[in-house]
Amino acid sequence: MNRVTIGPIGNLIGGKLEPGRGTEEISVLNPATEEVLGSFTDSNQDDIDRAVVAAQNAQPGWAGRTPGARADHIRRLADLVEDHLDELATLEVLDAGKPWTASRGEELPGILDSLRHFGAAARLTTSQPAGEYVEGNTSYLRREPVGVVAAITPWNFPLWQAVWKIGPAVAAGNAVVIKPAENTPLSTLRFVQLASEILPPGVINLVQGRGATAGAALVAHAGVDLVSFTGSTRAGRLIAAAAAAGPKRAILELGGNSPVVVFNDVDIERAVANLSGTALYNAGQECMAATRLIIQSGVRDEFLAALAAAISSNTIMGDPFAAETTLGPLISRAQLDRVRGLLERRPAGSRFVIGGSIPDGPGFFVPPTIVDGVSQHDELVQEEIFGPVATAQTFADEAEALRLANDVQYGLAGSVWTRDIARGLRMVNSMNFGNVWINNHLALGPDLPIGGFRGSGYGKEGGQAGIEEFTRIKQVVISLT
Amino acid sequence: MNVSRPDSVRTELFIDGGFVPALDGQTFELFTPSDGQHWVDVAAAQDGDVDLAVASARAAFESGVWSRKSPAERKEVLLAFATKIEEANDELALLDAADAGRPITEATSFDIPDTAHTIRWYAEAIDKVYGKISPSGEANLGLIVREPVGVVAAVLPWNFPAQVMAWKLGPALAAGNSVVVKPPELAPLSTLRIAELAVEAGLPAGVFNVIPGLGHVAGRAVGLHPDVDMVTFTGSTEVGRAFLHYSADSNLKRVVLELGGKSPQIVMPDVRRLLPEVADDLANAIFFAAGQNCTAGSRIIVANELREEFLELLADRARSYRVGNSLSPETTLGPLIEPSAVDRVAGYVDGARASGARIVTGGERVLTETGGYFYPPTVISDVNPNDAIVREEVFGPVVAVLGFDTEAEAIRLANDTDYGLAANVWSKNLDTAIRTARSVRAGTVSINGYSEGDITTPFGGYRQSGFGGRDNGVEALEQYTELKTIWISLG
Repeated sequence: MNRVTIGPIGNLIGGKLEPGRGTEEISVLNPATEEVLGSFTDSNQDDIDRAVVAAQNAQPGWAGRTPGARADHIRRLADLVEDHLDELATLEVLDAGKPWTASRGEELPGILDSLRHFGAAARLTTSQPAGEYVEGNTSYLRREPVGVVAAITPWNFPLWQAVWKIGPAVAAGNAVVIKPAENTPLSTLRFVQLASEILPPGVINLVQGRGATAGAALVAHAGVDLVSFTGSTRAGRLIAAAAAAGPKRAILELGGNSPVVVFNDVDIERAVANLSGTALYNAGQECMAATRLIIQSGVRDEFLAALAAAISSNTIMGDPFAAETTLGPLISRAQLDRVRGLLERRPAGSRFVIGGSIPDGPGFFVPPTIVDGVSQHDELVQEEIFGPVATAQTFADEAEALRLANDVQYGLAGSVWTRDIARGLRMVNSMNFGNVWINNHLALGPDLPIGGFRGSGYGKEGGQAGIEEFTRIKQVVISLT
Repeated sequence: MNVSRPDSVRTELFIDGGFVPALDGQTFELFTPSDGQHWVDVAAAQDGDVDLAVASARAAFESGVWSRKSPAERKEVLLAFATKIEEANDELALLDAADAGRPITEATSFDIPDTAHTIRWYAEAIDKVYGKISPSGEANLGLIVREPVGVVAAVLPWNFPAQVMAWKLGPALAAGNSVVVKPPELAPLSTLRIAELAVEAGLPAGVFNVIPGLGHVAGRAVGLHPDVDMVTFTGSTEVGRAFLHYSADSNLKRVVLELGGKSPQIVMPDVRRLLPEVADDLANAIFFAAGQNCTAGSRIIVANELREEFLELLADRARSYRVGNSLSPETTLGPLIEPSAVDRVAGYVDGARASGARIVTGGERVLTETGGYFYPPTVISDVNPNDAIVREEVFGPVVAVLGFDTEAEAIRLANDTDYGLAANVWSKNLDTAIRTARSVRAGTVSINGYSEGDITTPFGGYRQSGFGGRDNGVEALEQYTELKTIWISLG
């Protein structure tokens, strides 16, 4: 299953594959083996210019088609993607290091469902009125595509993120230039190639390269109307500043550091069944992962023991293509070193409930780890770790739980575990996070918008709100006299 | 010390902006239920009067004097109307207390303030409810606009005369319709005074007409009228059914029905330490308005392990009500509406007693020496799910209590009814509360406190509790409109 041919890696502009013309040759590694899968040349300003121009040329014609016609194209693209699920999953496993069972079994079906959802959802956008709000005049609002969308995607869910940006943007009538992360170029390139068989040339264009070169040039380009970015908070700030110079609109899905607040009346069995998976999902390289355990004192020992036991018995780390593997490697040596550093600098008095010892290579593997005995202002609690590492803290009452949950720079996601309906609702009302769950974590779908508060960015992806982000509103007033 | 009945009241028909007698001079007698005394005679609309009222409403509608005013102008008039109602709060409360038997304290502090609030809420909503543009592509422009239906008839109940009238009048007028109201024959006076206030506030003549009369005459006439575009009715399931027949037999007018209920109140075993609070809530759920309330919590379904303790607490609460004259500020439970209502309620209780049920408290007529139509708060236990007292709407201060052992049994009992207006579940357990709320087939399900929601939430029933729409919320405003598609070719 892991043998696919990796063709030339390059840009796809106006439907044609071509090499980048930048100065750096970038290698793509398999993070499980550290073998080189291939390489490509970074993109330069000229590459970005031509990609944006191709998008600008294609966009009016694409926007001129009815929502029904656009939805029909996306439905046919989804059918084509469905014929290539094994190939796309294989590419995703090779350069992102995901377990095959997760990629082929969960992510690709989810990606396909999302693509179909976004295509059809664009038929349902309505805009307000027809009403005589000014004497002697009627009026209406017209919802239009924004124009050219720059999409910059991360390496943790390469194809998922690409589809969550391209799908709604294109369905709403925009043209797109996408830049995938430089260490995971393969699945997005293959997806855009498939799209080129169905959609008019130039509606979706792809440029490869680093954030500092290709990404920066794309965000700064005068022909781009909106930037949709998913990645780190640090890079998000740079993108917000560059978008401000336009000015152009930006949607920023940035880091997270999700609190998991467990009250004494938790249903332990049900909580552990979820959290033993969602704390480590995608080796913790998931901005909503259930990593910050905040546990009430009365249930703390029992809950931690049950969670540790479930993780230890359910997790098998190793070759991503092996059917039994549930935990793959981190994406890169840099990410491995970062996680190792955080663990080595853990505060005095903390202890590993499980894990903590990083094996020798090859491959960038970190075993499932829970660190107990940390306090709120330790970097392990404040920073987004982005590895299969959870921290455990204890609280006495609801007010303290809320304080610990909210006291981080991020505001992406969080969950509350309790059987008390009033307490659960009080907690989620006061938690400063864009996605909150009661007795669940990571329940997601294309119908449900996601998007963070505070240091986690702004804007929504998914749901009707996510489609509307890729539109603009025009007020039309018609005199009747 | 009772407050006094008002000396002078409006008793004529209100047509085309002014009071007029019925064409043939017919009247009906109005009694006060707290003492059984005759009060005044009220004009009784006949077919010819209904024709005049509908013609006035139609002419006003076609002229555009209201229907084509900008939403902002309609808003201003309705805001002024709401203020007029507020200014007349005590006067209107007295009318509902005197003829409908609403306890004066509640009518003053709840019924009339809510009436004004409802009108104001719809006034403020009018210019914020939009039509749509369809996503039909570049070659066409599809406008989806909402327009008033036309002439709307509202046929109304006596249990909350002013308040339920506002639930209909607010959205119907806000949407630009002309309205003909047939107020309840047992409690028509507040509606007549409110029509006068509406005109004083600037509502054009003919937009709001009131035709007191008997249901089988005036009610039937609007139901069958060929120039009425829509009927909205609140009342019994039996009369609701008649309006569907009238519509089918005449012009297929739209029909919206808010009908009876037998609303279950489920008490889950996890609320043991909250039982005093639960008993307070469920006593209010059934004894509010002497149980003459379509959402009255007339069936309590309580976990068997809590039942005896709960029954004691509930009986305690029942005995604490002060039954008496609706014009006394001390009264917390007023009279029933008419003598036949007392006979009906007593009949249900006697029937239950005869079939072996336990009357925990109440169960005998009281204050008979006053001439008023009183029945005390009554709690009945040891009943079977098929007993009349469990299945039928008693519309009095009588609650039947059933026990259960499992959650599934509680839900099955709750749904074992022809009605589906409202329900309430007491449980602090998140899973139990939400699962039960989703499983009970009713239009409004409250959790941890009997409630009908508020003006922002749609109100109406599943199954035989309703038909065709909802009161309250933006949903009600939309139901008094027609949808029009305007398709513009840009080719």
